[in-house]
Amino acid sequence: MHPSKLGQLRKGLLEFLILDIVSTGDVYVADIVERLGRTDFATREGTLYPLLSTMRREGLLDYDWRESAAGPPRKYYRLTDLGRDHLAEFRTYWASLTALIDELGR
Amino acid sequence: MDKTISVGLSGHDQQFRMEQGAYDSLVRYLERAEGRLQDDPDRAEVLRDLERSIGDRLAALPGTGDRLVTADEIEEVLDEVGAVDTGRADEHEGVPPAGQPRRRRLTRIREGQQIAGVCTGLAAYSEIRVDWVRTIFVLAALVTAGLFVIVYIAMAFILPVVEAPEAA
Repeated sequence: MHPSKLGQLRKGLLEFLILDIVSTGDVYVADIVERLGRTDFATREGTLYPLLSTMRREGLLDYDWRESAAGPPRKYYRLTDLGRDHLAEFRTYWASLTALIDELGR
Repeated sequence: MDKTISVGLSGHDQQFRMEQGAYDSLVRYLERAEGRLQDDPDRAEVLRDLERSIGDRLAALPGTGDRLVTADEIEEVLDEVGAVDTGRADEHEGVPPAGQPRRRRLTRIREGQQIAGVCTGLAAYSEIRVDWVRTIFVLAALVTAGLFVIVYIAMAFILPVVEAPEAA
């Protein structure tokens, strides 16, 4: 596939992967960087922070400030109800999409 | 020896001491980030987030708290944090953001032209009625003993030409 087409797909999927990671419990940005870093979706803070602030504006997630052992307080992200709905919807859609791709490609 | 500069970063109580070159790189990074975030309503917050992350990484460098940060070290930190990228799959480049007027160009416009379309172009650019622009031009030409005729001819040569005001 043309790399830019995959790039577009990847950008769109990134948002759902972040919802997925945040849904596992309170996470802060370094956790997201670390967990994505082990995948094909490695993403740095320069991309994550603008995306997280947009997703927060859209009401998908929110954060709390928490003290850290060393350094300044950290933002810990969590999903809102809307974020959880979006994630559930996406998972259903993804399952049907992969099933469809398998079926058509047979 | 290079000058050293003390820098405060959002959220961090400590000051970071840097070489001049390191400081310059940091300022360039933040300025570029601010430029890319200009349409982001949470621009200030995102910039603070980035500063905090940069500070976390600087604080984790080996050595005591008041060590001097070199230009190479800051480059590495900035590379880890990564340039600001606001591109999302649903945003296409070239579409002006809603609520912001499109920047107009000064052109000649063929539609409704009397001579070469200079006045129609000026009218579209300035949002002044074309009759007024023409009147001003004629009066200016009379008062300046024809100098504005030359101005008109010069503009007719210089300005790019378009068919209709929408293309300006």
